[in-house]
Amino acid sequence: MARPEIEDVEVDLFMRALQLRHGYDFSRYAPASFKRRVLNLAASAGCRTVIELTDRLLREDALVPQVIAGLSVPVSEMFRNPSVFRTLREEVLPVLASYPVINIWQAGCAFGQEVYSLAILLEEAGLYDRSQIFATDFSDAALIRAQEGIFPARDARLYSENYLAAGCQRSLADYYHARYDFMKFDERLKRNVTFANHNLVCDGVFCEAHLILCRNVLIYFTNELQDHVLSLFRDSLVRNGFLCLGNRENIGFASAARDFTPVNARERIFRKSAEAA
Amino acid sequence: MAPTVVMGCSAGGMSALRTVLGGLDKGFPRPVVVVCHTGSEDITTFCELLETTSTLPVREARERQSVTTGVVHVAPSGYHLLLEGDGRFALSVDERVSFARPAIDVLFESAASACGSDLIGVVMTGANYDGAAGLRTIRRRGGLAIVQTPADAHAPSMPQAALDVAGADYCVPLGEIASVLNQLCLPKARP
Amino acid sequence: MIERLKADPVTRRIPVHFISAVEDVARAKQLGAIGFLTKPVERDALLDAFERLLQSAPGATRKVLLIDDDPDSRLAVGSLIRSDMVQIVETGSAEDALPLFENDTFDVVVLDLGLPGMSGFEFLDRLGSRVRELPPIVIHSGRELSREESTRLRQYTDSIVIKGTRSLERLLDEISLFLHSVRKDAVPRVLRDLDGGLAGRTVLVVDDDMRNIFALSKILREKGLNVVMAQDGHKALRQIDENAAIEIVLMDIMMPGMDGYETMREIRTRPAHAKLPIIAVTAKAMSGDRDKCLDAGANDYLAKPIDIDKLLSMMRIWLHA
Repeated sequence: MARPEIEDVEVDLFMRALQLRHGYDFSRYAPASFKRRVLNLAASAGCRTVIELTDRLLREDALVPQVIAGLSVPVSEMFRNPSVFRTLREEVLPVLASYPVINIWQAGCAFGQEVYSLAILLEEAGLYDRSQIFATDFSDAALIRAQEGIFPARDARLYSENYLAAGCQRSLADYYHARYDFMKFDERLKRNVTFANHNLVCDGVFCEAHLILCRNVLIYFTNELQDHVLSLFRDSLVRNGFLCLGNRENIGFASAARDFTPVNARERIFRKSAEAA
Repeated sequence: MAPTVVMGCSAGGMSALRTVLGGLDKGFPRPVVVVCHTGSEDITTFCELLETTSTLPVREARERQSVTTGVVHVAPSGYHLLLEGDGRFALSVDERVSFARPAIDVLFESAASACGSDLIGVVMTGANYDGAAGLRTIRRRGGLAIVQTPADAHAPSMPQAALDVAGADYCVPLGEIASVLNQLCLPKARP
Repeated sequence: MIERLKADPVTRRIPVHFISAVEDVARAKQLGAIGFLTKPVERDALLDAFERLLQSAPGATRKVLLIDDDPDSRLAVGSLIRSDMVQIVETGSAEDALPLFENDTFDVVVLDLGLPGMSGFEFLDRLGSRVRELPPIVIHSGRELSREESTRLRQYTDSIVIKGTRSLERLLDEISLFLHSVRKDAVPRVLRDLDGGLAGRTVLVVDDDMRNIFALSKILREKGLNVVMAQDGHKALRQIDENAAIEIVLMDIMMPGMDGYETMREIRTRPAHAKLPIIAVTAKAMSGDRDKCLDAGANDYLAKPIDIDKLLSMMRIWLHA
């Protein structure tokens, strides 16, 4: 067995410090991406080594939110992979319409682009007034950003193209105001959104969901944690409820995958199997 | 994990890959993992095009699946592709690196961590500097670096950046990359 | 396992998707009966057992009552579920339906909400007071429901289907679920919990999760508690202000609008309720979350999924204190 690289040892110590001192458990995150993020964090905090970052993390509680933000998934765009949203609109929403109240859980909402996309989709389907979106993330910093609903204006073009490609019926500009370099989404879009802190690693079921969106979050987890979270989703979903994952995600190694049946394998949309109870 | 070859290319990469993959030995005994900034969502077609000349099967790299000897794995568009220490692929949607996702640096650095000295990194044509830092990491961990001669490249800046930042164990024209790989990886014929 | 399921009048009659709700709120206590939920192998075994029970049941014809004033709708639903094993009884009004329960039992009642005359809500209330145990109800509604309406309905049933382009497939699914569940025999209701000091006390359950409202209230009622419900913080405050009988509160933390923390702080600003026992119920697991609940005014803290034994003993302690 080769001696581990110093960097790998440092990352391991950082992870343990974060758990022992601050209670956050990253031990079941996929190592390669976790390491990248920790190295980036150290660099952006002006630390020469990860051990220096660890030292500060142990002594400066104020650093924790920044660290957590750096270790959570930051990137998304509105209507990312438009065909997914088209499928949701055409195949999933008509089924959800048969429920008196529609609960949707956006797990790992990051800066909220998908939350607003979803709200628009529901609004245009005439379902938003009886829908409740729970937008959760374990980073408070991300939740604050998501609640603001402000995105760089340079993204407007991409978002608009995606919006139209998703088959939506109006213009994305109907939903935001552009100011200087930013676009701010209509406050009314948030009227049925609850933003809340929830950590998929350790927190439990909190709602009865008809649809769970969790795109490109499980890719950061080991098979074991992925399985755990899929079980959490299964327990949160109503019978026959829908689960939508990122379009390159593979749940084939998780035993909980047997509780889900693909309804559109290409778009990674599943239904909780009737037998999964 | 098993010895591996990782390759990166950008502008002009499709044609460069067709040349290199066409020249590999049929019994090439290592997995090959490729990041090419294709800018195209349609990775399936990209793989099919490569397969028309490649001696080895070309497949999209799938999350959580094991790297397979004798297969060329191509990073899907829109995701960084990483190698885990247990020989499986991982994906990420972290920020772009050198304006690219997938980024060559991300693959190279994770592969260097996973494979140590059992790794060969190849940087070919491209119009930016992605791959240079990753190649440096590969060499620091004892792996080998092959860089396409910049003057021979469709877009010289990427191989040039790799030479500047990382240096190379072999700096050869495109047409010779496959034979260098064959020589390095195929079992030596007994005298 | 089956014996326990059969012996317990609650679990024996619960359709499969309802059992999943119980698992959330009552895992520890109920696991004895429904441990299969978390262990797939055991679960398969249990499902097999269900199948066997079903096949061995003599003359297992199922009786469905359709209450809908629209003959076309009755026809559509009827043709959806028609089979040799299913006997369908149809009526056009709630008034006509009520007397049917005097001499007959039904495996499923499909109830249209938009009836002329007696409304579906009134029907359910009246039926509830007439029969010892309500049959499984599937609501089929031609219009959308307000949150209050659906909360009210959820006391009676988990199966509410709003008519629409894709609703018939769901209706079929909901009905067949009941048709395939184990048939009930006459088993006396469990005796009320007499020792626990809970009977006759009034608890306010604040939760927006319908499954908790449905399942928790059912379990608590069996213990002889009076259960009052609120699905958000504002309604909880109103209940507390208006209903002096409330002696203890189970407060969910993650709710839309005013969350549990804020609601508890509001409750504590009211001098009359400064000492009202509040048990916070949360899906959050880190140690800081517990402190946050206590800081906001909770007396105690319980993590989801709720361990029902723990909840009951907590309630006994706080009601006794």
